[in-house]
Amino acid sequence: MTMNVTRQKTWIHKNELLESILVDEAGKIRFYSHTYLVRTKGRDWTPYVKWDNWDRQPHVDKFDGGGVLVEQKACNEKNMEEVLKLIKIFRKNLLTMDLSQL
Amino acid sequence: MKVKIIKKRKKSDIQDMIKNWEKKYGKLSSLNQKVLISKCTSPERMSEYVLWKYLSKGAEFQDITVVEDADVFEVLSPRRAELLEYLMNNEVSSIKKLADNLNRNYKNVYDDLQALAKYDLVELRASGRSLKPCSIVTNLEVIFGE
Repeated sequence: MTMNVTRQKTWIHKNELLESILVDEAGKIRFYSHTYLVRTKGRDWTPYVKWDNWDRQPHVDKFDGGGVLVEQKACNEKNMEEVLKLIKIFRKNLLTMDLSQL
Repeated sequence: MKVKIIKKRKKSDIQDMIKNWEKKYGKLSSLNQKVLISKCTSPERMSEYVLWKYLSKGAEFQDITVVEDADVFEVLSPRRAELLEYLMNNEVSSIKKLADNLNRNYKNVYDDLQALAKYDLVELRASGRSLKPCSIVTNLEVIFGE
């Protein structure tokens, strides 16, 4: 069975990017993770929000802006295009939103 | 408008990635434990675990960078594009060697490499005491109207 792993980094701004990992087996997505990362002055890349289906449980993780997880909620499966659209609209404001409702 | 960069990873690149993870975490099962215990709170660990797991099973790997930030055009000057093309077709052992081969000033070549590395267009790999510039970019597309 053919397995493909795709890592895609999408730069939205010079200090903001979306890193996606997709695993598909025979054309079916087995695993996805989409992490919105922000680089602040004097710091490395910090995760802000992550959507993934680890353990086949689609959920969204919200971090505190310093890289510490503050919330983990179940949500619908998200593909890269949907996540990219959300990030482009809301950007850093995502941290103040109820992500499971998006 | 966006710029899509497709990178071709050789088998040896994938083996190097796996070696680096072994150095960092020991075994794949140790990393799995770490990811499980932390309930995947570290996106970096989770991504590395997934990549390690599937690449060691022989999965095909696609490494893509998409730049939607117009600043990328400041990075891609004709001189830098020439440098990228040179690296794609030639292997050099150090930045100095690259500057010599291109008959350019070391400092300018170093600055160009740093700017390209910012967007993952080149990699500066440690090789002894020097940095070895490498490009794994095979395609660079400018896409309009998306």
